[in-house]
Amino acid sequence: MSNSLIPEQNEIKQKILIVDDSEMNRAILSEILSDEFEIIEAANGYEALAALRKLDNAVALVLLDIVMPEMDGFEVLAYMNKYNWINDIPVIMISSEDSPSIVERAYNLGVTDFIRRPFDANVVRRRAENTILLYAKQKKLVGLVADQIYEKQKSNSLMIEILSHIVEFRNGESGMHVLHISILTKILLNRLIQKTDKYNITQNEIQLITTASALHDIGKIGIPDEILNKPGRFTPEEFEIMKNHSVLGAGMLEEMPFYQNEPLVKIAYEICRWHHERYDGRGYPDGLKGDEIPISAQVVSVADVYDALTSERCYKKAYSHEKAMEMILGGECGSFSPIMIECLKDCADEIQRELKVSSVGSKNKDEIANIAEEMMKHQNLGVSDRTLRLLEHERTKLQFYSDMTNDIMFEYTSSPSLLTLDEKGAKLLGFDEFITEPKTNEKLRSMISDEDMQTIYKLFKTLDWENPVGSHRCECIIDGEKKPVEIKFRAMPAALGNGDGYDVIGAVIDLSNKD
Amino acid sequence: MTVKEMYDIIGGDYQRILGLFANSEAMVRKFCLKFLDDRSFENLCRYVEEGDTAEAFRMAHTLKGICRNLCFDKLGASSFAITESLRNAGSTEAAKLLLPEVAADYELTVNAIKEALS
Repeated sequence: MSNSLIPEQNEIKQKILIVDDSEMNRAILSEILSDEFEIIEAANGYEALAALRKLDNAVALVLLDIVMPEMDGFEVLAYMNKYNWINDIPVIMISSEDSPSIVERAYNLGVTDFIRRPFDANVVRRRAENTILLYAKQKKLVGLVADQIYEKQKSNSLMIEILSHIVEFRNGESGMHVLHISILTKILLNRLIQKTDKYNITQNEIQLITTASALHDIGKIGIPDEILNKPGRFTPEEFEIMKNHSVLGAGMLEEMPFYQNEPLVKIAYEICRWHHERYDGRGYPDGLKGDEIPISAQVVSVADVYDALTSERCYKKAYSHEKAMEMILGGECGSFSPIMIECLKDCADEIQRELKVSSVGSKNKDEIANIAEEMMKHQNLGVSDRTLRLLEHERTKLQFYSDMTNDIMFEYTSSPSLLTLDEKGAKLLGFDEFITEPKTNEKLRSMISDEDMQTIYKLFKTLDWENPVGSHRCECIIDGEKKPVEIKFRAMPAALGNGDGYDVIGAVIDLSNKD
Repeated sequence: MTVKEMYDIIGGDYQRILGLFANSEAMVRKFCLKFLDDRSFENLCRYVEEGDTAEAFRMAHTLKGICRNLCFDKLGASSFAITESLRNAGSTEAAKLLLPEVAADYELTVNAIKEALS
């Protein structure tokens, strides 16, 4: 197979990371592969992880030995699993271990292939080429699928938006109501799943309920114009007709000849039929009580009432947020479950902010964020090129900001115990960018007292969802001088609450030049 | 002495290594010479002497791996035996008994390489 079959960046050699504690073994592999590939070498597991962290997705293949000092090959695989790198970076294990249980363990940890010593130079080269080619193809496919899903979701929600706007316009409204309901629904549901797992709601369902919320009033299409757009109060008869919109909407969905089993249709049915039910059982059309009312309808019901109160209508002015909250809490506008009310209270700031900035145009952006979020969650989809571009963008931004300040930026992961400094900070301190086992690192201990160091580790451990940020003031030797500094840090969301170690980012701020 | 004769003396498999290294005798020579710089044997001796089983195991394992890579079958066999005696071992006592054979094979290998190639 020739080089030209490896797609993309034909001129730039793909990078292979060789991890082996024996220089001799690395040299043999390097000799075999260096014509075709750029070789990076690591002498133990720590160096391998540092190289992967630094080069990220730029590593096309890892050749990994098992028995190594500091951190062995299995530990490297464990971390590659933990950070999901194993999905994007193929690993071929090379070892003289023959025991079937060791080979099995390696495959279980996600290695693509296992090569025994002595190995055939040509076989190693072919397997390296094939593995890289296969992964490149798979990445391309993942990108294509991700783009297709994106397109499909976009046109789906476009159709729903058109449909619900028809209803809105007939109702003499601007179309903002539908948009507001979906924003509110999403915010409330995200808060709800933080508070309780009682309803078993997945991110995918949040997406579906949010989309379906736009359809809550489609039944109004069957209400006569003169009642629908009557400026004054309804007579009791008119109100009965008006109330019928929930049953009408649900009926339209029920009578659709196709797609009855689509989750979106089922959820839309719940929302249409039951978004005027009350938690105390005095709503319509079925008088459902408490959690007999599907959670989708409960959420849309709160969202509907809140937006109706805070928006201007042909029969009323817009109430302020405070007034609306007062009316809802006072039970003047329906009856809701205590936990829904709590969610509404918790999210008051976010709701006001989001509704203020939301315009029809911003909907698209929300959706992109949604889809990106979804894709990050589905491991089998991996990370699309789109997301990678966003990451690259963020990284460039960070680099720029970091260059503009004199602060030393750092990132710390507790397992493996690894401290990463920004390039400039590392240069300033005369350190490597990656420090393994910082607790026992002599250079670091000569810069900051053991006591301060221990205090900082203790503070790291106190960080949680409620208080993700902390700081500590002390003295540090920077550039040969003792300086007062403030060390500020923040726990990273991915690591919060999983109980298994923690990740912290932070900055060392030199106070001697300030004020 | 040819490379093949050298392999015969040290109990290695010349035909096999030539095949594995894509029929390049230059590559076989290069890495045999490089073997002279490898310190895993000396380190193995030191750790066995010091009674450090974990490090001794690692060094024996590395030596065994290199021997396999170069088809040094005889040294490979004795370093395999010492590796297994050190795997999860409580002491280096068993290894001490096996070390003389490894040392003899190592001497033989290193001397032959020096004579044939340098």
